[in-house]
Amino acid sequence: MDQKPSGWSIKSFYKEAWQLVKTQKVLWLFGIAAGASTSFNVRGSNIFDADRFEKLFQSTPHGGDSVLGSSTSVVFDNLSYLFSAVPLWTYVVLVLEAVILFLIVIGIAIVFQNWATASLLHGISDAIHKRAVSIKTSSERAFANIVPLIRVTVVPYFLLGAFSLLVFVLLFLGISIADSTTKSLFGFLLTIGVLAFAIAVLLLTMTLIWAVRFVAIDNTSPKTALSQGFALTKAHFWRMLGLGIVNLLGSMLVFVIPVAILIGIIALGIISLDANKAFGSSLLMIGGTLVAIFILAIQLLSGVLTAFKATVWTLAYHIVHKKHD
Amino acid sequence: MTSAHKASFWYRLLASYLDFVLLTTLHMLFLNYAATQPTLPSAVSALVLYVLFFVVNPVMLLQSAILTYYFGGSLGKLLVGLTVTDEHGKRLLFKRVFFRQTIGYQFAALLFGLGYFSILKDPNRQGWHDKAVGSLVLVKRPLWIIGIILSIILTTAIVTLFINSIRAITTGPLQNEAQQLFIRTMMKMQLEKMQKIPQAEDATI
Repeated sequence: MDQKPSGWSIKSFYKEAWQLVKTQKVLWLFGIAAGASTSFNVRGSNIFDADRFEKLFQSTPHGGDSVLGSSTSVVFDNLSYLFSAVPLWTYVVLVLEAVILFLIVIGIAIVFQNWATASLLHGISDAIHKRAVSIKTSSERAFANIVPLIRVTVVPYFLLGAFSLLVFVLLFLGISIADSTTKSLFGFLLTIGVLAFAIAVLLLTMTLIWAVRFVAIDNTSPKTALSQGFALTKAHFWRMLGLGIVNLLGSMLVFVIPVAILIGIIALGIISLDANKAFGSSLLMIGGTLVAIFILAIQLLSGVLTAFKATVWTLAYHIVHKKHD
Repeated sequence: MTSAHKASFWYRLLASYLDFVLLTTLHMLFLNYAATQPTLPSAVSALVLYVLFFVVNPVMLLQSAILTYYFGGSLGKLLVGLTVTDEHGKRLLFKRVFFRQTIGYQFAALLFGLGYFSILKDPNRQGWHDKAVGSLVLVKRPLWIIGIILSIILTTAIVTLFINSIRAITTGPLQNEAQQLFIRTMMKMQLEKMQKIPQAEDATI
């Protein structure tokens, strides 16, 4: 029998989401993966070594000595000597490799992020409909959603970013070359531009909350998902904003309270050291141990939180989607 | 599911360790070559080639996916007689293999590698990366003895190469040249400083 979510109520979303998430550890894993993949850290970070080799041989003007000091020419001479045996073709190949590796790593990170998101949403959907949640079933269904999700998430942000960059560059150029009267007009336009950009990012983020669910849960095409997502955002803007703010405050509480307690214990330990060394040291040891445990647990905690928030939005999605049908 | 013998956690750990020592041996060979160069420029040239072949090379990132797709496993797995297949014992599609060897491994590494340790308790001996793509690691030929012997030999080779490299750097011609370069640099900087002082004094007078 399907579990029918109740009407739009943040309290009932939170209660229901907690019931679903607390028992489904697979959702925690996908929550960690969805969060971890945004800070994807692989050996791709080594590629930046290649850039340094190129920069080493950019000639500095001799006038730079008077600004940077005599040591610059000596260092440059030494580096020229050290790299004198490196053939030129090596630098060309290094740069090419670095660019290719960078693109591959970025591609992998984007696929990871979208696979994790799709898997999480499928897992949540299974949990809501009281089906068994497993890595295998969620992942298998997620494979079909990776490319559509990439189109839904990456393309709009890329287009918005490119358009905004162009507008800001033109405005900055206008400010730099215009006379004083026109400068203030460009300044005013820049302020409007910044506000408009912030509103556009907010609306896009809210649209994507629904759009990814249209793609993953209902297998809608990216274009339709975006337009339907935008329609839902327009219809439920203030409710979404309210839920988003509650989620944000909730996330802050989950992290801020433990951090505040830890800081309190460590601060008290430091202050007590002068008066009572044994008590102060004990507090510092306890604080240090708790910090270590917190660092170890933070990955799990953030995964549970990501899964919880995704479940809340998915429950909200079921409510608004059915109201619109 | 295939009825062939599924590889245990320890067998797979041996294969992974063999992969690690094979790659590290290559790294150490190159670094040892750089450390035994007669001059600093040639040592730096060797290091740049090392970065070119091992650090920045995209093939190093993709090599395990390529080997697994074409031969059924990474070099370590092949040497100990393991093979990676789908749940019916057939070859995996390339995109599944690529996903498994890149994203799958990252996923299994979450929570301090819990995805790998889950192989210990899983009835199908699958890690999280196996579950994500529907793969199994099977024992094609039980060559674990060869794996252990190779691991011991290569670990010894790595330690030997490392010690040789340190010895070559600290007692060989590179150290002398580095010291002379440092002394020359300090003298040059002192000289330039002394030459600038009379000019500054002239300016104030």
